[in-house]
Amino acid sequence: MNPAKTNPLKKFLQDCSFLFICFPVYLLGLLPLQVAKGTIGKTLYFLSYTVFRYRYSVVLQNLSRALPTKSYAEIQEISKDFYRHLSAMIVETIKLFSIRRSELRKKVTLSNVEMVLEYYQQNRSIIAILGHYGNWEYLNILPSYLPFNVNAIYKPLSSPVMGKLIQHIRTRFGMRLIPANQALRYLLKQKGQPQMSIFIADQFPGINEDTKFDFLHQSTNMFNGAEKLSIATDAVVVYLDLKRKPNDCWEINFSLITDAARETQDHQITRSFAGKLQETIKEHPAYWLWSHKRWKIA
Amino acid sequence: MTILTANPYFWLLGILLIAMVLVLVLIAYLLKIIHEPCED
Repeated sequence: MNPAKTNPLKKFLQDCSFLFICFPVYLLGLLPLQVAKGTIGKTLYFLSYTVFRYRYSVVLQNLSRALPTKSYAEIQEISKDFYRHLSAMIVETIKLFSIRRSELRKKVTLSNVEMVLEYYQQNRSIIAILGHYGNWEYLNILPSYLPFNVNAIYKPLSSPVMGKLIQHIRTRFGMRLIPANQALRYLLKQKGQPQMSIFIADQFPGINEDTKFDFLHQSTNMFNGAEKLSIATDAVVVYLDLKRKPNDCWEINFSLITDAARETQDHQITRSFAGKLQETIKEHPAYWLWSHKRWKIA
Repeated sequence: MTILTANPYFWLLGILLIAMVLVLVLIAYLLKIIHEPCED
């Protein structure tokens, strides 16, 4: 339980901090995206890559292990591109606080959406799985493209103030946020009402010998919550892939993993997701979140 | 001190510095929250 709910002073302080943070975010959001990327984005790249070397050893280690066929010069080039992408992503996320729906719709397009709509016509719910690839925060525009409810399954942040900010960004265009620990109950309750639930499923799940896969040349524990949920709710499982397009645009591509989750073998869905994500990463490695400690214990 | 505070550049620089610190703190927080759900 959030202690601020019972302590009015704490709640007041949290609200003040939220407004205090919103102010610069709103002001930065007023800058055109290109200008913001050209100034703040480039400064951030300079600070994170050249000055502070933010998580540089983690990035290099992850890249070297995941892409063993690349030379050191190529790894360095990818790491530079990664820092450029990370800086641009932060600017884009700040911009999402105030961007207009029409402007965002120009930036994000959908591909193969017909498949999803067809399952919707058949009254089937969809579970969309993706990795920390591209700018996943751009998915908040999905509800404005689709005729059904879109839920994002998320892990609440430790900071209530930043949690509120991110919640605002994610729900601006109609996305529903469902805490991960309530997802199963919520989806079972909503059974019979077709909707899409989005999972980011490539994070470190803790040690679990059952769900170890070979992912990016390493033995990797994968999160299998999406698989369990899709079996429990008999949902169609799709893989969501973000592709960078010219002029800072992104294309969201849907591809089918299975429409018969209950007939799949153990871990087949998770394995299929891991394979698809691996292909996506190998195609354009710089857009994956290399700075997280993905293989910290495994 | 009066000479310093009477100079408009003092205030301009002060505001710019505060704004920069705010933006840096915000960005540091954003970096933290990008990584937090992946590493818990």
